[in-house]
Amino acid sequence: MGSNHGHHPGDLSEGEVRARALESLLREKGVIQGDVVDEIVAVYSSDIGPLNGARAVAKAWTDPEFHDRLLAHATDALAEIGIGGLQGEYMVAVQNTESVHHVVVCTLCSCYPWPVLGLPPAWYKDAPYRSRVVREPRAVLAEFGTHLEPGVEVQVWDSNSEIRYLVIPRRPDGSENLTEDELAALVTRDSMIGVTVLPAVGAAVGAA
Amino acid sequence: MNQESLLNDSTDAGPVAPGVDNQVSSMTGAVAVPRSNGELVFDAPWQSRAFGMAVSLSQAGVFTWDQFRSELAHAIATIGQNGVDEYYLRWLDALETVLHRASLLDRQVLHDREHEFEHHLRDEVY
Repeated sequence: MGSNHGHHPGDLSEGEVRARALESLLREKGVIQGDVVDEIVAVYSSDIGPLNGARAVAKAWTDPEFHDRLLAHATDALAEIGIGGLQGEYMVAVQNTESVHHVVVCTLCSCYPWPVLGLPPAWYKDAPYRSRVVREPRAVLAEFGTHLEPGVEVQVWDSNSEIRYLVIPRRPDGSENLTEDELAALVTRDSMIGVTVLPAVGAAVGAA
Repeated sequence: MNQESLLNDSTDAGPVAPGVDNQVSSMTGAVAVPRSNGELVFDAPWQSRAFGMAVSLSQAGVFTWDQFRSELAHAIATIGQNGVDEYYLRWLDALETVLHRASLLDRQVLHDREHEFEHHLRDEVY
C-alpha cells in the first residue's frame, strides 16, 4: 500500500502509527514515564530464565568450588547465586565432557526447570522430540546441527515431577580469557538442554 | 536449603525472575504471545512497544492482566489474527479498550494523534 520513499503519508505501517500515537498520548498524561517500556521488553525478551542457567554455567566454568557444589547439589548451589523458585523439585546438573554428552527430555509431559532455563521451547513439548530423543538421540541431535564424534557416549535424562536437569555444556574453545559475564553471554538455552554444543569463540557469529 | 521452603512458590518467583509476570508468559491458546523456539518474537519495534506498554501498565495497576487478556481474546475472536503483525494489532485494540475504560484514553484524541503521525505532522513520540 504505502510508498516507501521518505517521509510521506503511508510510509508507516498501521501498527507503527497506532503504537506511536498511543504511547505519545500516554506519555503526555504521565501514565507512561521514563524507560519502563524498554525495561519490560528487555526483561521479557530474555525471559530471564535462560540467563539464570547461563550465569550458573559460567560460574561453574570459572569457580572450581562452585563447579563441584553444582554437580553435587545443584539445587543448593543455584540457590547460592539467587536462583530458586523451583516448584519443589530437585535440580541435578550433568556435565558434558570429551567422552559423554548429556541431553534432557521429559517423556511423560513437559517437565522443565523454568526458573533456570525460562520457558521451554515449543519442540521440547512435542511428541516427536519426546519419543525420538530416547530411541535415536544421535539422529535428533544431528537435526539440531549437533554432530558428535562416534566415540562420545550420549546419555538421555528423563525429567519428572521431582527431578529437573541442567546440562553444563563444555566451555567453548577460545574462551580462556573471557570474564564470567562474557562467558554467560555465550551459553544458550539449547546447550543447557543438551541439544546443541557451544561453538568455539570467534566462530560464534554475532554473539551479543 | 530446605526443600519444603521452595514448595508452593509457583505463582511468585520472587527474586528469581524480577519483572517477569507469569500471567503474561503463560498465556496459552489464541492469546498466547508469539514465540519462536521459546523466545518472544517481535517483527517490528512497534510490537515490542505495544507489548511493553501493556505489561508495564498492568504492573502499575492501571488495569489487571485478566482485563487485558479478556479484551485480547475478544479482539482475536472477533477480528482474527494471522501472524505476529496482526496479533499485535489485536493487542493494540485490547490496550486501547482497557485504557478507554479506565478513562485514560479518548478515542477521538487518539484518532487525531494517529493522523498526525501518519502524515508526519508529528514524528517524535516523546
